Amino acid sequence: MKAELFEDMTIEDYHDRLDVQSKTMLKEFIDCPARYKYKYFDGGVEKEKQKDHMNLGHAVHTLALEPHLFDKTYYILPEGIVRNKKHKAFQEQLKEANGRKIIRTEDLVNIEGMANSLKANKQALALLDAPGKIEASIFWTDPETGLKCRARPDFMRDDSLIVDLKMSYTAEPKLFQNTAFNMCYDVSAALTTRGYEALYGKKPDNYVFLVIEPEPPYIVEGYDAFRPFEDGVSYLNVGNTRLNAALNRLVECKKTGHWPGYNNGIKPLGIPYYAKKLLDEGAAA
Amino acid sequence: MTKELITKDENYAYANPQQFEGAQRIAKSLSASTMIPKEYQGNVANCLIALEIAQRTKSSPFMVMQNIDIIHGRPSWRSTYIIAAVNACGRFEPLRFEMFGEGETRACVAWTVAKGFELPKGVGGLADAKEQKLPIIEGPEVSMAMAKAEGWSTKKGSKWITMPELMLRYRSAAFFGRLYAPEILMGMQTDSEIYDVSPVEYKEASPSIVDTINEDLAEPIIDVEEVEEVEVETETEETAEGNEEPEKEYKPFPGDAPAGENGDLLEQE
Repeated sequence: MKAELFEDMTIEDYHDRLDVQSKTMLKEFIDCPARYKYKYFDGGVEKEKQKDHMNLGHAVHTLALEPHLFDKTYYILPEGIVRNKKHKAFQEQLKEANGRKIIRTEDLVNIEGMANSLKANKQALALLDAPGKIEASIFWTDPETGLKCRARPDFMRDDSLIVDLKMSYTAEPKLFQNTAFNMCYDVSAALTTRGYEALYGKKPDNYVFLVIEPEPPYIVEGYDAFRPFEDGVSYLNVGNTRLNAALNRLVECKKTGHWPGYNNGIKPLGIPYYAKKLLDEGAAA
Repeated sequence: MTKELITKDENYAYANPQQFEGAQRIAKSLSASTMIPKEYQGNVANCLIALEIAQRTKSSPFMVMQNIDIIHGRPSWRSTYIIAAVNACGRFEPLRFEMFGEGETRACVAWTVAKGFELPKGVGGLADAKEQKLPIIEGPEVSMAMAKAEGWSTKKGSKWITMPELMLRYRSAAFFGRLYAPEILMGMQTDSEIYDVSPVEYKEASPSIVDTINEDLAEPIIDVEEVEEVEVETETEETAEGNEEPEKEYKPFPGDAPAGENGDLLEQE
Protein backbone atom coordinates (compact mmCIF):
# COMPACT_ATOMS: atom_id res chain seq x y z
CA MET A 1 0.00 0.00 0.00
CA LYS A 2 1.37 3.35 -1.00
CA ALA A 3 1.38 5.99 1.73
CA GLU A 4 -1.72 8.16 1.59
CA LEU A 5 -2.57 11.53 3.07
CA PHE A 6 -6.12 12.51 4.04
CA GLU A 7 -6.36 16.17 4.92
CA ASP A 8 -10.10 16.24 5.58
CA MET A 9 -10.63 12.99 7.47
CA THR A 10 -12.59 13.60 10.67
CA ILE A 11 -11.12 12.51 13.98
CA GLU A 12 -14.03 10.07 14.38
CA ASP A 13 -13.38 8.43 11.01
CA TYR A 14 -9.70 8.26 11.89
CA HIS A 15 -10.43 6.58 15.22
CA ASP A 16 -12.74 4.08 13.53
CA ARG A 17 -9.89 2.50 11.55
CA LEU A 18 -9.11 -0.24 14.05
CA ASP A 19 -7.63 -2.43 11.31
CA VAL A 20 -4.69 0.00 11.12
CA GLN A 21 -2.13 0.41 13.91
CA SER A 22 -2.14 3.80 15.63
CA LYS A 23 -0.08 5.28 18.46
CA THR A 24 -2.95 4.60 20.90
CA MET A 25 -3.22 0.96 19.83
CA LEU A 26 0.54 0.43 19.97
CA LYS A 27 0.76 2.00 23.42
CA GLU A 28 -1.95 -0.43 24.55
CA PHE A 29 0.03 -3.31 23.03
CA ILE A 30 3.29 -2.23 24.66
CA ASP A 31 1.50 -1.95 28.02
CA CYS A 32 -0.24 -5.33 27.77
CA PRO A 33 -0.71 -7.49 24.64
CA ALA A 34 -3.65 -9.35 26.22
CA ARG A 35 -5.54 -6.09 26.77
CA TYR A 36 -4.75 -5.00 23.22
CA LYS A 37 -6.31 -8.23 21.95
CA TYR A 38 -9.36 -7.77 24.16
CA LYS A 39 -9.87 -4.22 22.97
CA TYR A 40 -9.10 -4.46 19.30
CA PHE A 41 -9.77 -8.09 18.34
CA ASP A 42 -12.47 -9.17 20.78
CA GLY A 43 -14.63 -6.07 20.59
CA GLY A 44 -13.54 -4.68 23.95
CA VAL A 45 -13.96 -1.28 22.44
CA GLU A 46 -15.97 -0.46 19.38
CA LYS A 47 -13.55 2.27 18.59
CA GLU A 48 -10.94 4.47 20.23
CA LYS A 49 -13.48 6.45 22.19
CA GLN A 50 -12.63 9.98 23.15
CA LYS A 51 -12.48 10.29 26.90
CA ASP A 52 -13.35 13.52 28.69
CA HIS A 53 -9.73 14.48 29.29
CA MET A 54 -9.01 13.80 25.64
CA ASN A 55 -11.94 16.09 24.74
CA LEU A 56 -10.26 18.78 26.78
CA GLY A 57 -6.93 18.31 25.02
CA HIS A 58 -8.56 18.18 21.64
CA ALA A 59 -10.59 21.30 22.40
CA VAL A 60 -7.33 23.14 23.13
CA HIS A 61 -5.96 21.90 19.80
CA THR A 62 -9.03 23.19 18.02
CA LEU A 63 -9.14 26.56 19.76
CA ALA A 64 -5.41 27.15 19.27
CA LEU A 65 -4.96 25.73 15.78
CA GLU A 66 -8.41 25.89 14.15
CA PRO A 67 -10.49 28.39 16.15
CA HIS A 68 -13.09 28.66 13.37
CA LEU A 69 -14.08 25.03 14.02
CA PHE A 70 -14.50 25.38 17.77
CA ASP A 71 -18.22 26.28 17.88
CA LYS A 72 -19.03 23.68 15.25
CA THR A 73 -17.29 20.95 17.23
CA TYR A 74 -18.02 21.79 20.87
CA TYR A 75 -21.04 22.68 22.92
CA ILE A 76 -20.64 24.43 26.25
CA LEU A 77 -22.79 22.91 28.96
CA PRO A 78 -24.31 25.70 31.08
CA GLU A 79 -23.27 25.82 34.72
CA GLY A 80 -25.42 23.92 37.22
CA ILE A 81 -26.48 21.13 34.86
CA VAL A 82 -25.38 17.71 36.03
CA ARG A 83 -23.85 15.54 33.34
CA ASN A 84 -26.19 12.60 33.74
CA LYS A 85 -28.21 11.18 30.86
CA LYS A 86 -31.07 10.33 33.25
CA HIS A 87 -31.58 14.03 34.05
CA LYS A 88 -34.09 15.77 31.87
CA ALA A 89 -32.12 19.05 31.83
CA PHE A 90 -29.07 17.25 30.51
CA GLN A 91 -31.16 15.43 27.89
CA GLU A 92 -32.36 18.79 26.63
CA GLN A 93 -28.80 20.05 26.46
CA LEU A 94 -27.81 16.98 24.45
CA LYS A 95 -30.52 17.85 21.95
CA GLU A 96 -29.20 21.40 21.83
CA ALA A 97 -25.64 20.13 21.33
CA ASN A 98 -26.83 18.22 18.27
CA GLY A 99 -23.91 15.78 18.16
CA ARG A 100 -21.28 18.28 19.21
CA LYS A 101 -18.91 17.30 21.99
CA ILE A 102 -19.92 18.56 25.42
CA ILE A 103 -17.60 20.76 27.42
CA ARG A 104 -18.32 22.02 30.93
CA THR A 105 -18.20 25.79 31.54
CA GLU A 106 -15.50 25.33 34.19
CA ASP A 107 -13.38 23.45 31.65
CA LEU A 108 -13.89 26.18 29.09
CA VAL A 109 -12.04 28.61 31.36
CA ASN A 110 -8.96 26.42 31.24
CA ILE A 111 -9.33 25.64 27.53
CA GLU A 112 -9.40 29.36 26.74
CA GLY A 113 -6.56 29.96 29.18
CA MET A 114 -4.40 27.37 27.47
CA ALA A 115 -5.25 28.61 23.96
CA ASN A 116 -4.45 32.20 25.01
CA SER A 117 -1.23 31.11 26.65
CA LEU A 118 -0.19 29.38 23.41
CA LYS A 119 -1.01 32.50 21.42
CA ALA A 120 1.03 34.66 23.80
CA ASN A 121 4.00 32.32 24.11
CA LYS A 122 6.88 33.24 21.78
CA GLN A 123 8.08 29.64 21.57
CA ALA A 124 4.62 28.37 20.67
CA LEU A 125 4.10 31.17 18.17
CA ALA A 126 7.41 30.42 16.48
CA LEU A 127 6.35 26.80 16.14
CA LEU A 128 2.71 27.29 15.19
CA ASP A 129 2.73 30.48 13.15
CA ALA A 130 3.73 28.86 9.87
CA PRO A 131 1.95 27.35 6.88
CA GLY A 132 1.20 23.65 7.19
CA LYS A 133 -1.35 20.90 7.59
CA ILE A 134 -3.39 20.62 10.76
CA GLU A 135 -4.40 17.12 11.88
CA ALA A 136 -3.93 15.48 8.51
CA SER A 137 -4.13 11.68 8.56
CA ILE A 138 -1.34 9.54 7.09
CA PHE A 139 -1.80 5.86 6.27
CA TRP A 140 1.01 3.56 5.16
CA THR A 141 2.28 -0.01 5.37
CA ASP A 142 5.31 -0.79 7.48
CA PRO A 143 7.75 -2.39 5.01
CA GLU A 144 9.43 -4.51 7.67
CA THR A 145 6.37 -6.23 9.12
CA GLY A 146 3.69 -5.56 6.52
CA LEU A 147 1.46 -4.04 9.22
CA LYS A 148 -0.77 -1.15 8.20
CA CYS A 149 -0.07 1.97 10.22
CA ARG A 150 -1.54 5.42 10.65
CA ALA A 151 -0.62 8.72 12.26
CA ARG A 152 -2.31 12.08 12.65
CA PRO A 153 0.26 14.77 13.46
CA ASP A 154 -1.24 17.81 15.14
CA PHE A 155 0.65 20.21 12.92
CA MET A 156 2.82 19.30 9.96
CA ARG A 157 4.56 22.44 8.80
CA ASP A 158 5.31 22.89 5.11
CA ASP A 159 8.99 23.26 6.00
CA SER A 160 8.81 19.68 7.37
CA LEU A 161 8.77 20.44 11.08
CA ILE A 162 6.20 18.38 13.01
CA VAL A 163 4.61 19.87 16.12
CA ASP A 164 2.88 17.59 18.59
CA LEU A 165 0.74 19.55 21.03
CA LYS A 166 0.51 17.83 24.40
CA MET A 167 -1.51 18.78 27.44
CA SER A 168 0.35 17.58 30.50
CA TYR A 169 -0.20 18.26 34.18
CA THR A 170 3.43 19.27 34.28
CA ALA A 171 5.78 20.58 31.63
CA GLU A 172 8.73 20.48 34.04
CA PRO A 173 11.48 18.57 32.20
CA LYS A 174 12.18 15.75 34.66
CA LEU A 175 8.54 15.14 35.50
CA PHE A 176 7.42 15.39 31.87
CA GLN A 177 10.05 12.80 30.95
CA ASN A 178 8.22 10.29 33.14
CA THR A 179 4.83 11.13 31.70
CA ALA A 180 6.16 11.07 28.15
CA PHE A 181 7.83 7.69 28.52
CA ASN A 182 4.84 6.12 30.28
CA MET A 183 2.53 7.49 27.61
CA CYS A 184 4.88 6.18 24.87
CA TYR A 185 5.34 9.62 23.32
CA ASP A 186 8.67 8.35 21.96
CA VAL A 187 6.83 5.61 20.05
CA SER A 188 4.33 8.18 18.86
CA ALA A 189 7.13 10.42 17.51
CA ALA A 190 8.78 7.44 15.80
CA LEU A 191 5.49 6.28 14.26
CA THR A 192 4.59 9.75 12.96
CA THR A 193 8.11 10.28 11.62
CA ARG A 194 7.85 7.00 9.70
CA GLY A 195 4.49 8.02 8.30
CA TYR A 196 5.99 11.30 7.13
CA GLU A 197 8.92 9.45 5.59
CA ALA A 198 6.62 6.97 3.82
CA LEU A 199 4.62 9.89 2.42
CA TYR A 200 7.36 12.29 1.40
CA GLY A 201 10.36 9.99 1.02
CA LYS A 202 12.45 11.91 3.54
CA LYS A 203 12.63 12.42 7.27
CA PRO A 204 11.00 15.53 8.74
CA ASP A 205 13.33 18.32 9.85
CA ASN A 206 12.38 17.76 13.45
CA TYR A 207 9.62 16.64 15.80
CA VAL A 208 8.79 18.98 18.66
CA PHE A 209 6.48 18.32 21.59
CA LEU A 210 4.78 21.56 22.54
CA VAL A 211 3.65 20.92 26.10
CA ILE A 212 1.10 23.01 27.94
CA GLU A 213 -0.03 22.75 31.53
CA PRO A 214 -3.84 22.75 31.91
CA GLU A 215 -3.96 25.06 34.92
CA PRO A 216 -2.96 28.68 35.42
CA PRO A 217 -0.50 30.09 34.57
CA TYR A 218 -0.69 27.58 31.68
CA ILE A 219 3.07 27.17 31.28
CA VAL A 220 4.25 26.22 27.79
CA GLU A 221 7.48 24.36 27.01
CA GLY A 222 8.91 22.80 23.86
CA TYR A 223 10.88 19.55 23.71
CA ASP A 224 12.95 18.38 20.75
CA ALA A 225 12.68 14.68 19.83
CA PHE A 226 15.47 14.60 17.25
CA ARG A 227 18.45 16.13 19.04
CA PRO A 228 20.48 13.67 21.14
CA PHE A 229 19.94 14.07 24.86
CA GLU A 230 22.97 11.96 25.74
CA ASP A 231 25.75 10.03 24.00
CA GLY A 232 24.22 10.54 20.59
CA VAL A 233 20.88 9.00 21.64
CA SER A 234 17.80 11.01 20.77
CA TYR A 235 14.22 10.56 21.92
CA LEU A 236 13.46 9.39 18.37
CA ASN A 237 16.13 6.63 18.66
CA VAL A 238 14.42 5.38 21.80
CA GLY A 239 11.05 5.53 20.06
CA ASN A 240 12.32 3.67 17.00
CA THR A 241 13.73 0.89 19.15
CA ARG A 242 10.48 0.52 21.09
CA LEU A 243 8.37 0.82 17.93
CA ASN A 244 10.36 -1.88 16.09
CA ALA A 245 10.12 -4.18 19.08
CA ALA A 246 6.36 -3.56 19.39
CA LEU A 247 5.63 -4.12 15.69
CA ASN A 248 7.71 -7.32 15.58
CA ARG A 249 6.11 -8.60 18.78
CA LEU A 250 2.66 -7.79 17.45
CA VAL A 251 3.33 -9.86 14.31
CA GLU A 252 4.57 -12.69 16.54
CA CYS A 253 1.44 -12.53 18.75
CA LYS A 254 -0.82 -12.56 15.71
CA LYS A 255 1.05 -15.52 14.27
CA THR A 256 1.14 -17.62 17.41
CA GLY A 257 -2.19 -16.52 18.88
CA HIS A 258 -0.42 -16.05 22.20
CA TRP A 259 -1.15 -12.69 23.79
CA PRO A 260 0.69 -12.43 27.11
CA GLY A 261 -0.44 -10.24 29.98
CA TYR A 262 2.45 -8.55 31.68
CA ASN A 263 4.86 -11.44 32.21
CA ASN A 264 5.79 -14.69 30.55
CA GLY A 265 5.41 -17.12 33.46
CA ILE A 266 5.49 -16.65 37.20
CA LYS A 267 7.99 -14.00 38.24
CA PRO A 268 9.48 -13.18 41.61
CA LEU A 269 7.70 -10.21 43.14
CA GLY A 270 10.11 -7.35 43.55
CA ILE A 271 10.06 -4.13 45.52
CA PRO A 272 9.94 -0.55 44.24
CA TYR A 273 13.11 1.49 43.71
CA TYR A 274 12.37 3.77 46.67
CA ALA A 275 12.06 0.73 48.94
CA LYS A 276 15.45 -0.53 47.75
CA LYS A 277 16.90 2.83 48.66
CA LEU A 278 15.28 2.69 52.07
CA LEU A 279 16.64 -0.81 52.67
CA ASP A 280 20.12 0.32 51.61
CA GLU A 281 19.91 3.13 54.10
CA GLY A 282 18.70 0.75 56.79
CA ALA A 283 15.58 2.80 57.35
CA ALA A 284 12.94 0.25 56.37
CA ALA A 285 13.03 -1.94 59.47
CA MET B 1 40.03 -19.25 2.76
CA THR B 2 39.10 -16.82 -0.03
CA LYS B 3 37.91 -19.67 -2.24
CA GLU B 4 35.96 -21.19 0.62
CA LEU B 5 34.29 -17.91 1.41
CA ILE B 6 33.19 -17.33 -2.15
CA THR B 7 32.04 -20.82 -3.08
CA LYS B 8 30.08 -21.97 -0.02
CA ASP B 9 27.32 -19.40 -0.44
CA GLU B 10 24.60 -21.92 0.45
CA ASN B 11 25.49 -21.52 4.12
CA TYR B 12 24.71 -17.83 4.25
CA ALA B 13 21.62 -15.93 5.34
CA TYR B 14 20.53 -14.81 1.88
CA ALA B 15 21.42 -18.05 0.06
CA ASN B 16 17.90 -19.48 -0.13
CA PRO B 17 14.47 -19.02 1.53
CA GLN B 18 15.07 -21.77 4.12
CA GLN B 19 18.42 -20.35 5.08
CA PHE B 20 16.90 -16.88 5.26
CA GLU B 21 14.06 -18.09 7.48
CA GLY B 22 16.51 -19.67 9.93
CA ALA B 23 18.77 -16.63 9.93
CA GLN B 24 15.78 -14.37 10.52
CA ARG B 25 14.85 -16.34 13.62
CA ILE B 26 18.37 -15.96 14.98
CA ALA B 27 18.34 -12.25 14.07
CA LYS B 28 15.07 -11.82 15.97
CA SER B 29 16.47 -13.34 19.12
CA LEU B 30 19.61 -11.23 18.82
CA SER B 31 17.55 -8.08 18.33
CA ALA B 32 15.77 -8.72 21.63
CA SER B 33 19.05 -8.52 23.53
CA THR B 34 19.99 -5.37 25.39
CA MET B 35 23.67 -6.33 25.34
CA ILE B 36 24.11 -5.48 21.67
CA PRO B 37 24.70 -1.91 20.39
CA LYS B 38 21.66 0.36 20.06
CA GLU B 39 21.64 0.24 16.24
CA TYR B 40 20.75 -3.46 16.48
CA GLN B 41 18.35 -3.47 19.43
CA GLY B 42 14.86 -4.17 18.13
CA ASN B 43 16.13 -3.95 14.55
CA VAL B 44 15.88 -7.41 12.98
CA ALA B 45 17.11 -6.18 9.59
CA ASN B 46 20.37 -4.82 11.00
CA CYS B 47 20.90 -7.99 13.03
CA LEU B 48 20.36 -10.08 9.90
CA ILE B 49 23.06 -8.16 8.04
CA ALA B 50 25.45 -8.49 10.98
CA LEU B 51 24.72 -12.23 11.02
CA GLU B 52 25.47 -12.51 7.32
CA ILE B 53 28.78 -10.66 7.71
CA ALA B 54 29.65 -12.82 10.73
CA GLN B 55 29.03 -15.99 8.70
CA ARG B 56 31.15 -14.73 5.83
CA THR B 57 34.03 -13.59 8.01
CA LYS B 58 33.71 -16.63 10.28
CA SER B 59 33.40 -14.51 13.36
CA SER B 60 30.81 -14.16 16.09
CA PRO B 61 27.74 -11.97 15.31
CA PHE B 62 28.28 -10.24 18.65
CA MET B 63 31.85 -9.30 17.67
CA VAL B 64 30.67 -8.00 14.28
CA MET B 65 28.01 -5.84 15.94
CA GLN B 66 30.53 -4.44 18.40
CA ASN B 67 32.93 -3.55 15.62
CA ILE B 68 30.78 -2.00 12.91
CA ASP B 69 29.87 1.67 13.15
CA ILE B 70 27.44 3.48 10.90
CA ILE B 71 29.17 6.68 9.78
CA HIS B 72 27.54 8.99 7.26
CA GLY B 73 25.01 6.21 6.66
CA ARG B 74 27.68 3.66 5.68
CA PRO B 75 28.74 0.63 7.69
CA SER B 76 32.43 0.69 8.53
CA TRP B 77 34.82 -1.47 10.51
CA ARG B 78 36.54 -0.12 13.57
CA SER B 79 40.28 0.13 12.93
CA THR B 80 41.06 -2.12 15.87
CA TYR B 81 38.88 -4.84 14.34
CA ILE B 82 40.94 -4.84 11.13
CA ILE B 83 44.12 -5.47 13.08
CA ALA B 84 42.46 -8.18 15.18
CA ALA B 85 40.91 -9.82 12.11
CA VAL B 86 44.18 -9.87 10.17
CA ASN B 87 45.95 -11.34 13.17
CA ALA B 88 43.25 -13.98 13.71
CA CYS B 89 42.53 -14.98 10.10
CA GLY B 90 45.16 -17.73 10.15
CA ARG B 91 47.18 -16.63 7.14
CA PHE B 92 49.59 -14.20 8.76
CA GLU B 93 51.75 -13.80 11.79
CA PRO B 94 50.64 -10.77 13.88
CA LEU B 95 50.92 -7.42 12.09
CA ARG B 96 54.00 -5.30 12.80
CA PHE B 97 54.31 -1.57 12.32
CA GLU B 98 57.51 0.04 11.04
CA MET B 99 57.65 3.71 11.99
CA PHE B 100 60.23 6.07 10.49
CA GLY B 101 60.86 9.73 9.52
CA GLU B 102 60.01 12.96 11.31
CA GLY B 103 57.44 15.71 10.82
CA GLU B 104 55.76 15.48 7.43
CA THR B 105 57.92 12.53 6.44
CA ARG B 106 56.81 10.57 9.50
CA ALA B 107 55.40 7.35 8.07
CA CYS B 108 54.28 3.84 8.88
CA VAL B 109 54.27 0.54 7.03
CA ALA B 110 52.26 -2.44 8.29
CA TRP B 111 54.04 -5.68 7.54
CA THR B 112 54.23 -9.31 8.55
CA VAL B 113 55.17 -12.75 7.31
CA ALA B 114 53.08 -15.78 6.40
CA LYS B 115 51.67 -17.87 9.22
CA GLY B 116 54.24 -20.32 10.51
CA PHE B 117 57.28 -18.46 9.20
CA GLU B 118 59.61 -17.69 12.05
CA LEU B 119 61.62 -14.52 11.86
CA PRO B 120 65.30 -15.27 12.51
CA LYS B 121 66.72 -13.89 15.72
CA GLY B 122 68.21 -10.44 15.27
CA VAL B 123 65.54 -9.25 12.83
CA GLY B 124 64.25 -6.20 14.69
CA GLY B 125 62.30 -4.46 11.97
CA LEU B 126 61.34 -4.15 8.35
CA ALA B 127 64.79 -2.87 7.27
CA ASP B 128 66.52 -5.92 8.76
CA ALA B 129 64.01 -8.27 7.17
CA LYS B 130 64.49 -6.65 3.76
CA GLU B 131 68.24 -6.77 4.13
CA GLN B 132 68.08 -10.49 4.79
CA LYS B 133 65.68 -10.85 1.84
CA LEU B 134 63.05 -12.57 3.95
CA PRO B 135 59.61 -13.33 2.42
CA ILE B 136 57.88 -10.37 4.02
CA ILE B 137 54.36 -9.21 3.27
CA GLU B 138 54.43 -5.43 3.20
CA GLY B 139 51.53 -2.97 3.09
CA PRO B 140 51.66 0.47 1.41
CA GLU B 141 53.46 3.28 3.23
CA VAL B 142 51.24 5.85 4.93
CA SER B 143 52.83 9.21 5.77
CA MET B 144 51.85 12.51 7.31
CA ALA B 145 52.52 14.09 3.90
CA MET B 146 49.92 11.73 2.44
CA ALA B 147 47.47 12.64 5.22
CA LYS B 148 47.94 16.31 4.36
CA ALA B 149 47.74 15.81 0.59
CA GLU B 150 44.58 13.71 0.90
CA GLY B 151 43.03 16.28 3.21
CA TRP B 152 42.67 13.81 6.13
CA SER B 153 44.67 15.96 8.51
CA THR B 154 43.15 19.28 7.51
CA LYS B 155 39.58 18.41 8.52
CA LYS B 156 38.13 20.09 11.55
CA GLY B 157 38.69 17.94 14.63
CA SER B 158 40.98 15.53 12.74
CA LYS B 159 42.61 12.85 14.87
CA TRP B 160 45.66 13.12 12.57
CA ILE B 161 46.57 16.29 14.46
CA THR B 162 45.90 15.05 17.98
CA MET B 163 47.10 11.42 17.67
CA PRO B 164 49.15 11.05 14.47
CA GLU B 165 51.13 8.02 15.67
CA LEU B 166 47.97 6.00 16.23
CA MET B 167 46.34 7.15 13.00
CA LEU B 168 49.42 6.21 10.96
CA ARG B 169 49.27 2.69 12.37
CA TYR B 170 45.49 2.37 11.93
CA ARG B 171 45.59 3.56 8.34
CA SER B 172 48.53 1.38 7.35
CA ALA B 173 46.71 -1.62 8.88
CA ALA B 174 43.59 -0.76 6.87
CA PHE B 175 45.65 -0.52 3.67
CA PHE B 176 47.33 -3.83 4.46
CA GLY B 177 43.97 -5.49 5.08
CA ARG B 178 42.47 -4.10 1.88
CA LEU B 179 45.42 -5.40 -0.14
CA TYR B 180 46.07 -8.83 1.39
CA ALA B 181 42.81 -9.80 3.11
CA PRO B 182 39.99 -8.00 1.26
CA GLU B 183 37.51 -10.77 2.11
CA ILE B 184 37.75 -9.76 5.78
CA LEU B 185 36.89 -6.13 5.06
CA MET B 186 34.13 -7.17 2.60
CA GLY B 187 34.51 -3.93 0.70
CA MET B 188 33.88 -1.89 3.81
CA GLN B 189 36.17 0.91 4.90
CA THR B 190 37.29 1.58 8.44
CA ASP B 191 35.58 4.18 10.59
CA SER B 192 38.51 6.61 10.41
CA GLU B 193 38.71 6.31 6.62
CA ILE B 194 35.08 7.31 6.23
CA TYR B 195 35.56 10.31 8.53
CA ASP B 196 38.60 11.38 6.56
CA VAL B 197 37.38 10.77 3.04
CA SER B 198 33.76 11.89 3.46
CA PRO B 199 33.12 15.00 1.31
CA VAL B 200 31.05 16.68 3.98
CA GLU B 201 32.48 17.76 7.27
CA TYR B 202 31.40 15.52 10.10
CA LYS B 203 28.84 17.15 12.34
CA GLU B 204 26.87 15.92 15.35
CA ALA B 205 23.63 16.81 13.57
CA SER B 206 22.58 19.18 10.84
CA PRO B 207 20.99 22.47 11.93
CA SER B 208 17.26 22.23 12.37
CA ILE B 209 14.45 24.78 12.18
CA VAL B 210 14.37 24.43 15.96
CA ASP B 211 17.87 25.95 16.13
CA THR B 212 16.69 28.99 14.22
CA ILE B 213 13.69 29.32 16.53
CA ASN B 214 15.94 29.02 19.58
CA GLU B 215 18.31 31.67 18.21
CA ASP B 216 15.39 34.03 17.59
CA LEU B 217 14.01 33.44 21.07
CA ALA B 218 17.35 33.84 22.82
CA GLU B 219 17.25 36.47 25.58
CA PRO B 220 18.71 39.77 24.36
CA ILE B 221 22.09 40.52 25.91
CA ILE B 222 21.82 43.66 28.01
CA ASP B 223 24.81 45.95 28.19
CA VAL B 224 25.51 46.22 31.91
CA GLU B 225 27.15 49.64 31.63
CA GLU B 226 24.09 51.03 29.85
CA VAL B 227 21.74 49.81 32.59
CA GLU B 228 23.85 51.25 35.37
CA GLU B 229 23.92 54.64 33.65
CA VAL B 230 20.12 54.75 33.39
CA GLU B 231 19.66 53.78 37.03
CA VAL B 232 21.99 56.54 38.24
CA GLU B 233 20.15 59.20 36.22
CA THR B 234 16.71 58.12 37.50
CA GLU B 235 17.87 58.08 41.09
CA THR B 236 19.31 61.58 40.80
CA GLU B 237 16.08 62.98 39.37
CA GLU B 238 13.91 61.41 42.05
CA THR B 239 16.17 62.65 44.84
CA ALA B 240 16.19 66.13 43.43
CA GLU B 241 12.40 66.30 43.42
CA GLY B 242 12.15 64.80 46.89
CA ASN B 243 10.18 61.80 45.63
CA GLU B 244 12.49 59.19 47.01
CA GLU B 245 10.46 56.37 48.51
CA PRO B 246 11.43 54.91 51.89
CA GLU B 247 13.10 51.54 51.58
CA LYS B 248 10.49 48.81 51.65
CA GLU B 249 10.80 46.05 54.18
CA TYR B 250 11.14 42.68 52.48
CA LYS B 251 8.38 40.31 53.43
CA PRO B 252 9.17 36.75 52.40
CA PHE B 253 6.52 34.76 50.59
CA PRO B 254 5.39 31.55 52.19
CA GLY B 255 7.73 28.82 50.92
CA ASP B 256 10.60 31.23 50.29
CA ALA B 257 14.02 29.96 51.27
CA PRO B 258 15.00 31.04 54.80
CA ALA B 259 16.94 34.27 54.82
CA GLY B 260 18.97 36.29 57.30
CA GLU B 261 20.14 34.37 60.31
CA ASN B 262 18.86 31.12 58.88
CA GLY B 263 20.64 31.71 55.63
CA ASP B 264 23.47 29.45 56.79
CA LEU B 265 21.07 26.53 56.43
CA LEU B 266 21.29 26.97 52.70
CA GLU B 267 25.06 26.97 52.84
CA GLN B 268 25.01 23.74 54.80
CA GLU B 269 22.92 22.14 52.08
